[in-house]
Amino acid sequence: MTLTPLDWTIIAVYLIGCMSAGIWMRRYVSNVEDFAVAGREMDLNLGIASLAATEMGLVTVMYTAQMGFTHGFAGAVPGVCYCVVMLLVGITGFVIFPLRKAGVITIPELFEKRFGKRVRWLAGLVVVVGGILNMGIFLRLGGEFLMGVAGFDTQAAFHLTWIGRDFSIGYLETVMISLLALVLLYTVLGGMLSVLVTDYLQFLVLGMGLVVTSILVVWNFGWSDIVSGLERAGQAGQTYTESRKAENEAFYARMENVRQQDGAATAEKLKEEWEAERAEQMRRNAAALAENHVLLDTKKPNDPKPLVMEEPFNPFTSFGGMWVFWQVILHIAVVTTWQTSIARVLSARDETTAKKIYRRTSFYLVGRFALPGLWGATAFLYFCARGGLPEGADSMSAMPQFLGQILPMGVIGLLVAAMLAAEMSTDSGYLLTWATVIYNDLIMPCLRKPLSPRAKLLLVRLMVAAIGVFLVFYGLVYELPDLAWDYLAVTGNIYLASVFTLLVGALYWRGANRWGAMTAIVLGAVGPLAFLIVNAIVKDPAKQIPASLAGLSSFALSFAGMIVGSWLARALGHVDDGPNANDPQIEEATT
Amino acid sequence: MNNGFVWFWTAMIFASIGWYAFLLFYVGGKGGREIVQMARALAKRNKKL
Repeated sequence: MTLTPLDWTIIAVYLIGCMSAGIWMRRYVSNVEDFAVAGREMDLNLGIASLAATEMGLVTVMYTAQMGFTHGFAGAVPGVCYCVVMLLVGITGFVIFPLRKAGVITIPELFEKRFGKRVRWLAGLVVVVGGILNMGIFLRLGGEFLMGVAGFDTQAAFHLTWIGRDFSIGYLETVMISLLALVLLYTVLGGMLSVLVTDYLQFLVLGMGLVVTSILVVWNFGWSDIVSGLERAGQAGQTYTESRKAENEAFYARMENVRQQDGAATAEKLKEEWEAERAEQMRRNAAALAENHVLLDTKKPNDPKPLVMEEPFNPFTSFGGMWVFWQVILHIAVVTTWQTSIARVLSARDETTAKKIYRRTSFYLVGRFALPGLWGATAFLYFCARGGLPEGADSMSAMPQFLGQILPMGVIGLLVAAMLAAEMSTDSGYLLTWATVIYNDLIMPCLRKPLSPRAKLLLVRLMVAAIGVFLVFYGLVYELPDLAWDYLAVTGNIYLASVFTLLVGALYWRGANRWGAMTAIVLGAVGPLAFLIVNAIVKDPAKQIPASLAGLSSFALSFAGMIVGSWLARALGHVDDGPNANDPQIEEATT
Repeated sequence: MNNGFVWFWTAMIFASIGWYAFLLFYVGGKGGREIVQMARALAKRNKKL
């Protein structure tokens, strides 16, 4: 374990301060509007702190560091896309200005005014499914980081004997449940008001941790050594990938000959022997491979996976042009429709404040990818120089283990407190957002008799707790694909594509109608759901659906659905714009 | 070509460190005052109700 009493003191002070402030805000909650959008009293700087803290979760640090570990600085390109798009939206007010003006609590609520109740419900469902699946891996990655940096073994467990029976609870599960319990406590009690205040404290601790850690990483390794090391690692990675490809092709040609001459069973046996022999050879030569900038992921001891650095600077070579284009489109949708960001727009004092929050938060998002990316890229070089990754480590857990080894006493405590802050602010913001959508857009439209304010509050609080419980189980069961970012982007896409299309249609196209909206929602979810299902079944990476294809197709299908569906409905005489299509609030907001 | 990207990422990373440090003090100071104002406004409104 790498934590000293000083580190533990820093962590304890942070936790006590944060929890006390969160619980204190409970006294100001008198109705659902206070709980969900802080009574719309949030001002500019608090909005910036809250948006920045929510969007910079521990899960963000983990996956952006993983991108840095596998793609060097090029892995930070989504942050640049995010920044540029948010700045442009902050300047023009595209979508966010009319949305705030409409005075709704959630996006689906706007859809009811424009397209009717069914569209609101369906959109709410898609938002919740995409959002909760997206959040499903947060707790697990958070737990893994904290254990890695503190030097605990993620496979270790407590063993208890109770009424004659033996029980074992993993350290990881314990950390995940403890994190959740802390977040639930203040989120359930104080809602958005507690979230805002704790986000503010978390913004301070998180900012301090990120700045100090980044300076120490650069200080320890030297900037020019990091850059030249990455250049060498990128070239070595390319050479290794090409030689491995040639080796694979030669073997599969041989295997095909054996299949034709001796049958499929012999060929399969040959393949198994070859793979086992290669795995053994890699394990034996791990140190030599590391010297040549190839690390071994030994999480599955019988199937070690070589990890190489892709082109570390040029994102178009590293990921491909289609992937970068997908990131641009994805971030336009994220900035204008991601409910957790929009929750800050809707909580803002007015439309001008909402635009300012976006403009001033935009550059923060570059660092969101670039700084943990720097840690990940440096972790790659660090472990290459030390003969390989520690036993059981992979591209995801390498960065926390690296920081645990290089940071001095006290700074580790600050970093753990910062990352706890990141995890808690994101979890609380997301839990509250999805619970609000379930209450506001899935349950409320189905109730015949309105609930009392007290019952409404209780319902939202129960929803927050229920989502929390789901997160623990899902995080433990789901097996992540190679890049966590691809999982997050695709699950987010389930709703981003359709909700973005609906928002643009609702706010800027008078020809949009209910039928177009329904078609857009259904078609927008097809690509990402196909990605999740097909890739969970098909194990051969060559036959899996690329994340960029799933993401881009969902936008194309959703827009096509909106246009064709609306046009067909008009052509067939089903012109139906929803009960409040001419709602003066919507009319005013969109003009 | 890569040289341009190296300069770009160098600028982005160092600017991010600087920006985070600046926001820490700037937003830190002003955000604290806004929390107090928000709490006062909510308390006043709740009293009226």
